[in-house]
Amino acid sequence: MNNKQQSPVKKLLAIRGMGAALTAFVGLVIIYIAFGLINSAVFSGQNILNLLRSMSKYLLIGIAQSYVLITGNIDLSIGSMVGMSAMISATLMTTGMNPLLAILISLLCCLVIGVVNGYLVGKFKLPPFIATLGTMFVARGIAYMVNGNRNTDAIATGIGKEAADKFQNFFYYGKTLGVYNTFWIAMIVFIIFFFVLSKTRTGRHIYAIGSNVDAAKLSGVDVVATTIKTYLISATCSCLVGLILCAQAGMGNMEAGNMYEMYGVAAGVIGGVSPLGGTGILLGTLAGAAVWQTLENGLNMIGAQVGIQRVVIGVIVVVAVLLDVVVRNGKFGKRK
Amino acid sequence: MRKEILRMERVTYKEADMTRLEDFNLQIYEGEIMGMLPFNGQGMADLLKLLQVNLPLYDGYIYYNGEQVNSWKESSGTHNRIGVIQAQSSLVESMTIADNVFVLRQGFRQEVIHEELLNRQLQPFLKEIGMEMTAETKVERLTVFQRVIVELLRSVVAGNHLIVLEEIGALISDRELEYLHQILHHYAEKGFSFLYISPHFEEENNFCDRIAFLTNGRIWKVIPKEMMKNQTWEIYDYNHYNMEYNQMVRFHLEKRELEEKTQEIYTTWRSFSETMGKKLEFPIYRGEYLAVQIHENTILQEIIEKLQTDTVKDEKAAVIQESPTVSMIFHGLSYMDNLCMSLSRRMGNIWKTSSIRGSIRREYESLLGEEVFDMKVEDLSERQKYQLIYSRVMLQNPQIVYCIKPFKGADLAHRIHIWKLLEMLLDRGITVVDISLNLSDSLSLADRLLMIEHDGTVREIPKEDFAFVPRNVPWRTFYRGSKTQGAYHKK
Repeated sequence: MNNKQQSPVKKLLAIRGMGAALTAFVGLVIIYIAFGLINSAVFSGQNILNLLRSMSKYLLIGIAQSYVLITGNIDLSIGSMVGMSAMISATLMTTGMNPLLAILISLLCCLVIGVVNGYLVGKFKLPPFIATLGTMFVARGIAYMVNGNRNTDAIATGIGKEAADKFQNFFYYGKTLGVYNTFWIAMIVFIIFFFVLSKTRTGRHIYAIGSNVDAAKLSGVDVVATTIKTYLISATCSCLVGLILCAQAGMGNMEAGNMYEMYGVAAGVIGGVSPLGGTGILLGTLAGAAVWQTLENGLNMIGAQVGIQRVVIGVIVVVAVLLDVVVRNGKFGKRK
Repeated sequence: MRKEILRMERVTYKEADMTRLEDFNLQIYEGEIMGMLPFNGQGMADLLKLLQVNLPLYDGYIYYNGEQVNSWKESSGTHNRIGVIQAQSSLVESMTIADNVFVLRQGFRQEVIHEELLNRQLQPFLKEIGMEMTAETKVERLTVFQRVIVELLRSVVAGNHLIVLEEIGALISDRELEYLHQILHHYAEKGFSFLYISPHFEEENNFCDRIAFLTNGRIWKVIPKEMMKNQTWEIYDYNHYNMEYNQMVRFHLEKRELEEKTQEIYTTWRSFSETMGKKLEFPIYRGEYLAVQIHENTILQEIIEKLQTDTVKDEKAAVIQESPTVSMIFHGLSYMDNLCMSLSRRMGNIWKTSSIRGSIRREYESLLGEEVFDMKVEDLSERQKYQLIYSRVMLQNPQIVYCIKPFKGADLAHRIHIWKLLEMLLDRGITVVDISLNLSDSLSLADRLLMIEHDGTVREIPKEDFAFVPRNVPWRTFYRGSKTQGAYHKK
């Protein structure tokens, strides 16, 4: 028997998507140090805390999109669900509803969108781009309609200052162990979904669908149920980000979460989640979200214009995808 | 009394008002390896479907593992726990062997996965059959043979009483096939039953316990092992297809013997195998039929890749890809467009000048039939598709044609047709290079055989030695009669 003991490094790299994730982490360190050398304020404790908090939103969105991407699908409705969640929770709180109940109702609404996405893609075989494009408009429409086509008032006007502070501190301004709660929320979600993806049968089924859906079906994988699960996870994470944005602003904004679905794609792809499905780990998404936020933060700190920030980030995303395609097609290391 | 695992009794199955299986009877016992030889494709896919899912029957009963699972009175639509291993792998490439064997199988309920435990559990299964693989190896790194074994293990682990293997011989080399047969015998002794489907009698001969002959969705004969040994060709010849095939091969061999051979080198194949870190080089003679058997799948892939990139540059070379009726048909384009696709390399104005296309149509109508030109390509029969592809290649007027596994997936009736088409290429003086794993049909046309071993060694076997190729070759008596024994020599 061929039972050769692998070195720990080789074992680590053998984990699917680990190579790309580690590359993203190395990239992160380089980018961070480079910005720090240009402007030492990047290394300051407060900046690191802010960085971690801002990164958390992208991490949650990244987890949402990564789950869907690994199955070979996409969820364009994430940003709109973020907006919908923010608007529904804020509107309900401005009417004086208990924040916990408002959160549950927002979550329920997002889950409905998730189920619809899952059914359209998994059961009715609609192209995920089209199906989620439709629900993207629906969710954004709901975000607009929920408060009569205008942003909400401050939530404190409904539930009172004390409850509003509690809500805002829990999701955004409060700290635990010296770090903002937003970060801890994102970390807990990350650990749960990292475990689900890497250590459970559902996780294996998600990879199997993305890798070869026909083979997965032949292997007894319930493709419809698994697809629905991924869209539900996506909806849950989107709802959380909506609540974070609501807490941050202390009100509901109809445009909240605009373009977030693409930030999710970027975080995943930079971290090695393949848009073609079947590969990637959430550790990579964590790295991707961190790279994204560090770039934004660093470019801000060195005074780069918004336009330049977008160009740099766009180029990095394209290069990351290009690398994925090239590596998959085995174009590296071939003799002519 | 032996336990019955599968019984299909008077099964008639219809789909879209077409009778696919008619009065179909089949019994498989515990620990039995039942061979099945389809003479034409009708009913084969439907049989596999019915074995897996209990679809509504027009008539008859199906019993599996002692229980009636389907009947004309009531069909539940449920799945039977029967493993099916086909050319299209049902493994997930990016996952490990252990994941594919344990997690991706029907009936696996455990939610949290303990990888170490699964890996440990798989080792005894691998050890039992002498496979040198580690459970944590990803499937994408496995050879085709290893993948077949992993699929087999999955069925064994799942406790499927019946495992169906369809045309596996076309995917793996002779030696691997022999090994697979040993493994199947091992599991048969442990009580697993197999339905082994292959269009090659010589592959099933002496390996299966019984062989069922399938024609037009019906089993017309089942022969036991004893009959295979004693009256091999007499049984086989019952079917007119095979008599026709035998006669064709005999005439061809006689004809080729009479022809003068010049041994003029047309080209020398040169490529570098990255897998082996070795240069592959062999001559190809003008007008010959060269069969190339490649034992290592990665070398095969490298050669196919090189062919697909190099042939594009060479106007005098053409490639007929694997499963051409799927891979070489342009759906949505007309028959004429499909036919003329390669010609545009020679004649750039083919699409502008309707008179050229008109004259091509008139020329080929007599060969292909008038009606096909007005049909949608997707509506063509399998035979018409083969005809279209080979005609397209001939229109290109190549000097050499590389065929990748030309007989793969074809039943006996289609094999005869493909054989005739290949002979037509030879008759026109075109050099044919046939890259295959299964030699049964290729050798009946070949002038030379090159075996590329796992380590990249190229072994040349002349026609005189075909009878001594270490594998059941259907027409070995013909070769023996032709000349004296030659000698293997290494290059």
